[in-house]
Amino acid sequence: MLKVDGLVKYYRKTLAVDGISFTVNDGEIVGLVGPNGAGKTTVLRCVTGIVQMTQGRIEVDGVDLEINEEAVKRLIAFVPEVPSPYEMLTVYEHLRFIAMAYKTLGNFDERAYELMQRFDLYDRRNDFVLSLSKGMKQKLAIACAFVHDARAILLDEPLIGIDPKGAKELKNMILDTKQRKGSVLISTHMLDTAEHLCDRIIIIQKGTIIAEGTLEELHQSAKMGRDASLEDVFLSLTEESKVIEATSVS
Amino acid sequence: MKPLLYLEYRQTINSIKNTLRSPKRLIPALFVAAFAFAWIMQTVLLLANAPRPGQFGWKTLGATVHIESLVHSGAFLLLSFGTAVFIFQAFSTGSLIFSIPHIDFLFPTPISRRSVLLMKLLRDYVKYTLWIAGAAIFIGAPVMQTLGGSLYPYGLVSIAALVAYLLFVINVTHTLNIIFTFSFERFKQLGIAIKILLILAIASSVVVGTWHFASTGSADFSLRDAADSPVIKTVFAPADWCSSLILSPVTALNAQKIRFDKLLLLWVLAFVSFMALLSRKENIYEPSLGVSVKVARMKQAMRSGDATALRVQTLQEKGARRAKLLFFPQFGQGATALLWKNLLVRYRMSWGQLLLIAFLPPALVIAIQRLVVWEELLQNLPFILVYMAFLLSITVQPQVRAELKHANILKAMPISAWNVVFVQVMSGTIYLALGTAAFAGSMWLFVPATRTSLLLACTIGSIFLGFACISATVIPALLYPDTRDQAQNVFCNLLGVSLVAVALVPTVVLGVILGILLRFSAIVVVIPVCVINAILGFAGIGVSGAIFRRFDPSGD
Ligand SMILES: Nc1ncnc2c1ncn2[C@@H]1O[C@H](COP(=O)(O)OP(=O)(O)OP(=O)(O)O)[C@@H](O)[C@H]1O
Ligand SMILES: [Mg+2]
Repeated sequence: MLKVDGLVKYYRKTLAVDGISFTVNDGEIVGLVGPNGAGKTTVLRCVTGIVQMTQGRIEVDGVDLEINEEAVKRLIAFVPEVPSPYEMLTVYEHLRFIAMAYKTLGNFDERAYELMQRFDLYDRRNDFVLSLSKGMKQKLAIACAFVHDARAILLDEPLIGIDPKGAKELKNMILDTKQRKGSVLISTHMLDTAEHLCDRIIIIQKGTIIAEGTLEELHQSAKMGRDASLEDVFLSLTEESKVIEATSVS
Repeated sequence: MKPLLYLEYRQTINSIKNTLRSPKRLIPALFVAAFAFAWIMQTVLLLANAPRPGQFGWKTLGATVHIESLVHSGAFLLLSFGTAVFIFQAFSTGSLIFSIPHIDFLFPTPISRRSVLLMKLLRDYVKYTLWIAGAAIFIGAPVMQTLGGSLYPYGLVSIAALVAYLLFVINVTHTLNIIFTFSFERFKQLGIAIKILLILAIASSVVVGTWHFASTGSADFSLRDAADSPVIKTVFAPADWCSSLILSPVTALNAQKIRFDKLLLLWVLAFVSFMALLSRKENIYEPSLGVSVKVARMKQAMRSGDATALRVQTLQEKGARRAKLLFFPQFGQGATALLWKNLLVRYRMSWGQLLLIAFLPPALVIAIQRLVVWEELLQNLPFILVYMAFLLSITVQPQVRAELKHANILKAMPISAWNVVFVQVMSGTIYLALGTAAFAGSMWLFVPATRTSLLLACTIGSIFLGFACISATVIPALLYPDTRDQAQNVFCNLLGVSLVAVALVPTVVLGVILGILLRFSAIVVVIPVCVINAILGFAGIGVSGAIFRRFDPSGD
């Protein structure tokens, strides 16, 4: 279970996240959507300890990030936005390095074999990452996230640039994680995927949550019909909050 | 720690393998290695045959002591100014730079931040030590040789001192950067105080030096006084110790005592600052994010060898969003519009260089006015201008290759291939003409002796020569357009230089025969020179046009 409570993040003086609280339960897939610059990546970076949150509390399976960062990181897997892996490692070595970093070398070889098979990387296992295409690098980054059995998986725009088979495999992996009672948090712009894959959706804008819930609940808060797509809901809600802001300013 | 060691080890092994496997990378690497080896061998041989100090020794001890103190002052000022700049930067931009893969894949792992930092620092330390040692061998050894001394063993003291000082400065910079990223508000006063202290120290020495220079006119004593001003000496005391230790081999030569106590002190400082840095509890990853991305982009632009990309990157850095000052009225249609675009881009990308072209010549003329006999220089005027044409035309090639990155756009335009190439050559020639005219104009203005028809003739002639040369450099640019390929770069440069050299031949031959042997007047000589260069230039454009017509823009 991933719990974020009152998260505030300033980069020096710019406010990127302004008091966000949410929970991703065990066996739940939550989508984090929002316009560019809304603070999605920042939320994920705070959870993974890449940046230091200014205020708030982050817990994974009851372990506090502030108190035991390394333990929390061991429970998490993270797929960064447009990842650039180590070019001078081979695909196999890259996976191995990640496994070493998470201290899960135990059944590494079978695991790596399976992941490389799934993401069509097996034939390229001894090639330098340097020689991989953009989509293959993305697949490698995804494979790296599944090298250890993470309790919470965070994915930042994971579907950009990968082919349909890769996307299907990724979705399967995410559903597997759900089966294993892991928590999944996906930041994405691909609203139709979010709609189909996620149990719950959080819409953020300018660092605050403007709507949260299942698709149905979102329909209600946007006062829209059942057949409205997430895209319609998203556009309506983000526009609406802009209007509110404009009127409150004037 | 273990995964980090694995990472370093595998990456090193793999890059060696990668270099060995591809001839494209291997050949330049071998060249560099051979060069370095030759240099070191030479140094070693020099050292082996070095005459003992007693044999030649110093000519006069007094003079060398003076030079020694001068070098000491210079080194001290350099170190202090450099340190000040470093520390100043630490307040605004991140100083710890990680690679993007580190950010993406290492930062989220449970490896402790301290291990990551430790590994990074050790790596950096080794790198800097190698740089310093290399510089000491490459520069120090020949210098010591000419002084009749030897770099060994006291050169090691210099290296140790410089390394310690550099580590100290780097550690302090990182520590300050970390503290001020997170506790910006809390330590505001402290930050301001540090900045004021630095500015005060630097300013005091600059003022003292300038004042001394203004009143005495002696550059070397002013330098020494600037370095001796008490404020800078106190604030940058470690830099002072370091700069005196750098000269250890000379100190030993002068039979003076080397201050090992200062060396020890420097290492203590380096160690203490290292421990202070390692003990920081803040998230060191965060301040490195922004700057690392920037550096990675810069490196990318640099590696691709694309001058334009690099310039664009620096413009972005400065936050140049609007074109404001860099405005240029539009003119023309079709090929002429392309010319306008080329001139505009060149102007925006390199207006610093253009300013240099405009102001450097007069500055040079004024500066050397006292040193040279103008009558002699006047005779060499043709050669100077030929040389300028050569230099300026060489700089056009990268621009053309950058332009070819957009070859698919150019080819899609309803402009003939011949015309496209012509425009490329012309925009280069226009800038070359401006540069040459600036030089000739400032000669005319500041040196009355040069106001002759020779100057006029040479200026016109060299512009035409430049046209021919530029046209020649465009051919290899079209043949080898890929700037990311080192082999292509080498061939392109070589071929460019040789073609330009060929293009120079008719001008030189005509100039020598008509001007020097037959003693025609300059104006008479320049007419055939212009004609032949125009023919050459257009011939080159013809060839390039044919190549460009068959040019395949899908190269990348
Ligand atoms: N390292 C940083 N330093 C300073 N400001 C930053 C940094 N990273 C992000 N920001 C700012 O924080 C805000 C949120 O950025 P963030 O990257 O989290 O948005 P995002 O929702 O991921 O956007 P996108 O959809 O474009 O990926 C933006 O205003 C951005 O400019
Ligand atoms: Mg993002």
